[in-house]
Amino acid sequence: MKETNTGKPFNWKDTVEQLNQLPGEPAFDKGAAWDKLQQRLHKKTNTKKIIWYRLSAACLLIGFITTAIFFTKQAANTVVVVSHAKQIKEAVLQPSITQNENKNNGITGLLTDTNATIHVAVKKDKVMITATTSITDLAKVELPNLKQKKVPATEMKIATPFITDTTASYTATASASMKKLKIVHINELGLPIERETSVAQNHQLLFLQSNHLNNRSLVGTQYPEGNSNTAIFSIKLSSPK
Amino acid sequence: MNLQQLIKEAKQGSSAAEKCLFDEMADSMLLVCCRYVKNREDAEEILLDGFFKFFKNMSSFQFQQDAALYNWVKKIMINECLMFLRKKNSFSMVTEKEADDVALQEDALSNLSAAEIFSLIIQLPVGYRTVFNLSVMEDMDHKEIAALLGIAEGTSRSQLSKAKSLLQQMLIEKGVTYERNKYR
Repeated sequence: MKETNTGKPFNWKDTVEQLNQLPGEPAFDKGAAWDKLQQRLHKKTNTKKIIWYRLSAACLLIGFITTAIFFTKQAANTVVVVSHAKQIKEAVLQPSITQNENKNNGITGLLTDTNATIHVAVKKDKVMITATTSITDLAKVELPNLKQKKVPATEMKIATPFITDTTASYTATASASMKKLKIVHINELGLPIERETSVAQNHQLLFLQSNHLNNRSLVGTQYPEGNSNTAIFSIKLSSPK
Repeated sequence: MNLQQLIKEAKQGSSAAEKCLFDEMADSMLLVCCRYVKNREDAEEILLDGFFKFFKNMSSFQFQQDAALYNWVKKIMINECLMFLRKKNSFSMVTEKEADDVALQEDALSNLSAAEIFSLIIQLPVGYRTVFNLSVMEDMDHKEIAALLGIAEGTSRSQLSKAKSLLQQMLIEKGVTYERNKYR
């Protein structure tokens, strides 16, 4: 369909632009609108500043947290070492010294009590190294005390490899200690005799016969009531010197 | 003080010059915004956004004429209006078959005042109104409109012809009511 313009084409643009304000609406409050606009203009600059402040604060916070974490981790490690060192000092050296004092045989007490400390050291590998050094240090400190209490020098040599590290060294020291220990008959000790007497009282008849000395064996025979020929147990011991 | 001087001072950071520029152009720009966005509050908000961008980007503007300044600010306002309409998803234009060009009754239009014509335009649906404003009021061709709104050229043409036919109907209705009032 073609346009059927009789006169001049209607100019929409010029007609509408003749308007000064919105028809049928209240006048536009320029003052209030300007205040809003000004606030927004200033607000934007302030927000930019705030963003920079926040960024710098966040950077500082991150730095502080990382350093704090780093130092707390280090502190935790040192605390563990100290606690281990304390345990070792309490569990190993002090009891060993007391036993030395009691029995005048420092190496036996030292070896028996240090089992627990090895378990502590093996649990954490990182700690183990530091703990080992601390043990050696402690051993170095305590060694003069042991010498003062007349611990034999050979036994001291055994004690130092045990303190250094791991179960392997422990087994080595244990085997060494077994070689050095005296083999003592149970009857020679003080306390077990009382036990044997109590056993004898319970069974009414108990005596040890030392037969067959050529075979180097001892046979302890218990005779129940009414049957004096029945032997219940026999013990073979190593050859006496 | 002329606009050139105001622009110069506003570039130097004078708040008073900025206020003068705002007072000078606010009314006409609000009318532009209201042609695209029917709601008065939305139009005022868009106006403030547009002036905010204008003051922020003033340093890049080289003053030549008053008309150039008005056109630049008007363009900013139109872009803000189109952005607002896009955000609200107001454009739901379906690609339609190209319609024939509709001729409006020029005599009837010439009898109407500027306010009546303005009210006729803002009564159009948003799609028709936007294409009508861009085509008739801003003298854009359909290629530009299609690129600006993200629609096909055919769609732009059909929207314009439908807008015109709707305006024709409105004019007829107005004429009928006018005649009725005349004979009472």
